[in-house]
Amino acid sequence: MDKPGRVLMQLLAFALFGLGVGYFSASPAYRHIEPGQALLRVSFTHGGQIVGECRKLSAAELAAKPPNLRAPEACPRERSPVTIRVEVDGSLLFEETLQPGGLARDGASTLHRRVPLEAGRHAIHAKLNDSVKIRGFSYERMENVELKPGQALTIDFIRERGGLVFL
Amino acid sequence: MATTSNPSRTPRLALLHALQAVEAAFDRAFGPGGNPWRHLGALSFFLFWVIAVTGIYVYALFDTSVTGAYRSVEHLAREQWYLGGVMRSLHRYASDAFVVTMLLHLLKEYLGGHYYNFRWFSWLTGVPLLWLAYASGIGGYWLVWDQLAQFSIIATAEWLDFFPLFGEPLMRNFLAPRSVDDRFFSLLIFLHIGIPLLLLLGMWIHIQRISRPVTIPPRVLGWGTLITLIAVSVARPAVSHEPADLSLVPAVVQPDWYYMFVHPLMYRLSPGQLWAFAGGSTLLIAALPLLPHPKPQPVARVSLANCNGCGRCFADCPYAAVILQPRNDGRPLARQATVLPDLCAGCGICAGACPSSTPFRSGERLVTGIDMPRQPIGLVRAELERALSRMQGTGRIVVFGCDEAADVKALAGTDTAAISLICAGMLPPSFVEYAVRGGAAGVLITGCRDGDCLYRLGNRWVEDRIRGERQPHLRINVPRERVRIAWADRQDLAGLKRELEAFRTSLAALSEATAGQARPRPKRMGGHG
Repeated sequence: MDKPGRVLMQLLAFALFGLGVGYFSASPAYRHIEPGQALLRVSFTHGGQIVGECRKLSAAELAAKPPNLRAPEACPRERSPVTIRVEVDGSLLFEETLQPGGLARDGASTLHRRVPLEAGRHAIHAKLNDSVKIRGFSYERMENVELKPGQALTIDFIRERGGLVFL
Repeated sequence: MATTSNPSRTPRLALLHALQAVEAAFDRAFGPGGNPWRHLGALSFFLFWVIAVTGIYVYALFDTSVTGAYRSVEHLAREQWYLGGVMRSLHRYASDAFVVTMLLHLLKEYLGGHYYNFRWFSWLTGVPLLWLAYASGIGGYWLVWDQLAQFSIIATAEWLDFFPLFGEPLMRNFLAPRSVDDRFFSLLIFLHIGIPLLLLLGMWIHIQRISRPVTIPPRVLGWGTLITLIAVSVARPAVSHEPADLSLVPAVVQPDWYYMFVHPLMYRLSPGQLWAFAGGSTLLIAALPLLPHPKPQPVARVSLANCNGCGRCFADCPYAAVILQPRNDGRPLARQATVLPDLCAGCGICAGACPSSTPFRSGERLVTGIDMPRQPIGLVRAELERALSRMQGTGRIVVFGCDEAADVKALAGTDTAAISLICAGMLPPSFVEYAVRGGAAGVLITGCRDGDCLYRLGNRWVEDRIRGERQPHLRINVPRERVRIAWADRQDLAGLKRELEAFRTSLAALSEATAGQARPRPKRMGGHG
C-alpha cells in the first residue's frame, strides 16, 4: 500500500475508534422506569422487640459470677422478626417477614425494596409488626399521596418520629 | 495440570486466527511496528496518563460540596468550554478508551494463550486491574452529582447491599434530598484519587515479570489517539444531566456504557445475579492458568564450562529469567549466569545471545554457555551442516524460522534448507555467516510479525544483531545483501514464499555480479576459513 493509502487507512481507523468511543460514552439512552411511573421505596433498619422476658438472678447465680458481671437481671438477646405489609389502593403490594440479623439473632432487621407505581393518586397503607407478643401490627400509617411521574416516595421506619414515615 | 492435545482445533485458536487476520489488515495501514493491536498495553498506560493529567486540571477547579459539585463542573464545561470543557470531555473519553484498550488487551492475551506457565503472574495480577478500573471510572461519574450520578450511585449501593457488609444498608444514605452532605463529596474525591493510584500500583506490579515493558506507544499511535480523543471532545462535549434530586428517580439516563452497563444489567437481572456474573467472570479469568494447558517448555540450562559471565543472556531475556551471580565453580571469572526456572519461557533467546553459541568452534560437539534442552545449539549446527551438504543448485538459500510463526518446513526443497527454531531470537548471527561461508547464496530469517513475537523481544533482537547494533552481531564481512529478514505469522506462508522467491531472484543477480569471488569455507566443512 502506498503512503497516501496508508495514511487514509490510519485516519479511517482513528475515526472509527473515535466514533465508537464517542457514541457509547452517552448513547443509547436507558429508560430506568416507564413513562408515567413513580417509584415507591420501602427501606428501613429496625431492631424488633426482645423476644423473652428479663429474669432476676438468684443469689447463688449471682455469686457464681465474677463481681464485675453481677447484673441483677439476665435478659435474652434474641429479637422478634419484623413483618412489613404494604397495601396500595386496598390491594396487597407485598408482605415480608424479616429475620433479625446476627448469629444470636440480636441484630436489626433490614429491608430495601423498590416498586414502580403508576403516577397519580394512591392510598398507601403500611403496617409493621416488630414483636412476637403482638398479634396483628404494632405500627400503621395510611396516606393518600399524589405521585408525580418520576417521583420517588420512601416509606421508612423512624422510631423517634412515631414509627412508619413517608419521605 | 497439563495436556498435550492439539490446541489448533480449539475455539480459542480459531478466534486467534480471526484476530490475526484483523491484525494483518491493520499492519497494512500502520505497519507492523505501529499496529495498535500490538500496543494495547502501552496504549492503556498512555491513556492512564491522559486521564491523570486531565483529571488533575478538572480537580483543581472542582468544588467538593453538595451544592458546589454540579455547579463547578457546569461552570467548567460552559464558561471555560475551550479548555476546562475539553479537559473534562477528554478525561471522560480517555477513560472510555482505557476500557476499550484494556479489554482488548485481555482478549488478545487470552486468545494468544498468554495466561499459563511462566506467564501466570502477569495474567493474575491483571485481574484486579479490571475491578480497579471500573471502580475508578464509575466513581468519577458520581462527582458530577447529576441525575446520572444519582442513578449510578443508587444502583451501586443497591448492588453492594446484596451482601450485608455494613450495619446499615448503603442505600439508606440516598433516600432523601438532605441525605448527603459535603463530607460525602470529600469521601468520593478520596476514592476517585485513591483507587486510580491503586490501579497505577497494580499496573506497575502487572509488568514486573517482563523486562523492557513497553509503556509508551509508538508516536503515530500516541498522537493519533490523543488527537482523535480531542476531536471527539470538541465534536461531542461531555455534558451533565439535570442536577441530582433524591426526591426524584431519573426516568431516562444516558449512561456511559463502557462503565455503566452493569447498572441496566442489574435491573434486568437482580443484584445477586449481577454478583454471580461479576464474581463468576472474575474467578473464571483468574482460574484460567489452572485449567488444562500445554506443558511448560524445558527451561534454559547453563553450562558453566562454557559461560564466561558476559551477561548478554541476562540483557536479552524477555522475562528476566536469567540473573548473574558470583562465580561458584572456581574459575577466575566474576560472574556466572543462572536461570530462574519459574520465570523461564524456554524461548532460547538467551542461547541466541550467548557468544559461545558460534558454530565456528572446532569441537566435534558444540556446547554453548546457555542452551535449550529441546533444541541444543549443537544440534542446530549439525542440522545446518547436513542441510548445506544436501542442497544443490546455485541459488541455495537457508531459511531460519520460528516454531510459532509461518511453517518454514513448507519452504524446504533441493535448493532451500529450512531450520525452525524455538524462536527466531534463538538464532546466533554467527550461524548466518556459517551458512553463507558453507555454500549458501543467502540466508532468510523469519519469525513472528514485528511487535508480535510470542516471546516479546525475539524478532527485535534478531534485527538489532543483524544490523550490528546488538551483541552478538553479524560480522561485517558477511554481505548484507545475502541476508534478508521477512517476518510472517502462521497465516502468512504464501507471503513468505513470495518473499523467498524475490530473495532468490536478487541473489541470482548478485551472483552474476560477484562471480569468481571465493568465500572461505569453515574449517569443519573442509575449507580453509
